[in-house]
Amino acid sequence: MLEISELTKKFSGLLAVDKFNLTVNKGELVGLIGPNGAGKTTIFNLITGFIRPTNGKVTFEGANITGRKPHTIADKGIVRTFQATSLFDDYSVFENVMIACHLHPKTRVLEAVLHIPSNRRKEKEVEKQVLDILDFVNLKSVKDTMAGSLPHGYKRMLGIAMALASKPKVLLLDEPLSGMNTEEVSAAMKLIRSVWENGTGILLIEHNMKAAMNLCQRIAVISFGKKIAEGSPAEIKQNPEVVEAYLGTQQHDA
Amino acid sequence: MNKLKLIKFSGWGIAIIFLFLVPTFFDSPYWIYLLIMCGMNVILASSLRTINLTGQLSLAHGGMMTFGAYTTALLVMKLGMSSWLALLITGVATFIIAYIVGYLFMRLKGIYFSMVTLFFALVIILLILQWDSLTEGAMGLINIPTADSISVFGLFTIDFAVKTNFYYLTLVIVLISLLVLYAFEHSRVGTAFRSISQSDSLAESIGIDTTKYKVIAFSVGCFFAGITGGLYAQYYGTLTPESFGFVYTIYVVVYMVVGGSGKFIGPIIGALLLTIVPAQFTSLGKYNPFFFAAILMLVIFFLPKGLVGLPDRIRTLIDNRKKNAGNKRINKKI
Repeated sequence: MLEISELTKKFSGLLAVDKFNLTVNKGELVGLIGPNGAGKTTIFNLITGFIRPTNGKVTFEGANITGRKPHTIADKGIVRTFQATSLFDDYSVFENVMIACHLHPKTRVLEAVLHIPSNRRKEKEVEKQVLDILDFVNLKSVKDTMAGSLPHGYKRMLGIAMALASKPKVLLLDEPLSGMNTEEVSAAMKLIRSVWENGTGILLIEHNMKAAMNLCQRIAVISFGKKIAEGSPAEIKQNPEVVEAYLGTQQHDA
Repeated sequence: MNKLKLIKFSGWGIAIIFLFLVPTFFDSPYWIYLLIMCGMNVILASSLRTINLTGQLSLAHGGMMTFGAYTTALLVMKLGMSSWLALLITGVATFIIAYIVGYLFMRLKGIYFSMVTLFFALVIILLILQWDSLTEGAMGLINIPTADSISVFGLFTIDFAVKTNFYYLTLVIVLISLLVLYAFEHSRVGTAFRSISQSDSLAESIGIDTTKYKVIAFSVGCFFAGITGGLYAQYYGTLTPESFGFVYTIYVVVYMVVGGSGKFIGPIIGALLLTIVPAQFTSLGKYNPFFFAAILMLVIFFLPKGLVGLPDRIRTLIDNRKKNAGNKRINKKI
């Protein structure tokens, strides 16, 4: 469904991503791991249009989406979350998700401003959707809390809820488990799995190896912008190149 | 909750009735003039705030107002158009221009956007200054006709050459403008505006076309600046390219900031206060900008949220005092 081919990004001389290839099939949960600074988040930014690739192609459902604007790509069904928690802090949890529901149904400016009956109906619909999503991610109890004053774990869940609200076909999660305690990690993993079971494809960046190995069907490993391995979690664990990338070579150790 | 709403509504109602009755108390031409200027500044500051909801500060308001004023004046004077049609065309023209340049300007953010809008405003003013054959250049326009009189069901006619009647016209336009801007802010479109100002990239990532919404906010804001310009031309009757230059734009920004850009009523309070109060100290004359700068600095230091933040500020002060008193009592007991 999502195909990335020969994706390359140069930051004035620095080769951040080098001829990266990856396919995420419909309803698949794929992991993307690698040491810090390997270029994982850059790949996310390239896929979702936040930065333009130097070279290469991203296609989604057969259509070329390389270099399109982020909101267009989100509209087509590729939605991302951010590594640093990014929320609308001055809005309540409910409003945050509501804004994310914003495009479904489509907003027409005049209709919304005049607040005619059809708009009222749409807003009722949105309200129901929001409550459903909050129920799904277990945030209904804090729906009127300001997003900025939530505990960290809740913030990350809200980030995922907002991504879900924009009805993704493929969800890109950028380190969803970072900074969580064990309890929160297991809850978040459960959530990610149930999102996947509902038929949404997921591409996951994660540093928590145990979680990544546990969740993903297939894992791609990158180091210094290059893909060095791809395969099932079991294969990845055995791969000498991966071990080297994470732990360094013998000479370096010495 | 409903009681609160009722109080709010009746408050607005009383304020509006009071504004309609004002000319019967203050029938001096000076006060009528001042109140008309208040009305125009209220529209300008409020529409500037609508642009500001997306997190962008436009400095094109003076330029857009100049454009609007000249468009209205020239349509009536050169083409003999009805003043009402001219005002409408002015609004639409300003909107379209803002829409076109908006798409170019929105590539820039923050201070860079402000700079480019300021330059655009200056370009408009320079263009009017140089285009002698059409605009009379630095000489300016004189004898601009006022708004056409309206006949009400053939019973009586409202003649806007009478300044009191022009006050009512301004009041009606102010009320309509505020209603439209309020509807904008409290619709889903307004929510999108504010989400963009909080986090541009997050809004974009969940599928909000941030450029589109910023351009809409900018164009709507400029629409009202254009209309206000047209209204000014009809009221004042004379116009020069420097009528609303850079300093005027800054004044509008000061109205908004001093009143408080966080709340809808903020720019309204700011514009009313800073139009009426400085006018009472005419002896300040050319030192007026100093006065504005001093007020701006005081507000920024002591009331970062503007005058609308004052009640909250007082409340926290009182709460703190209570807490301190409570602590002292506890300390004494110990």
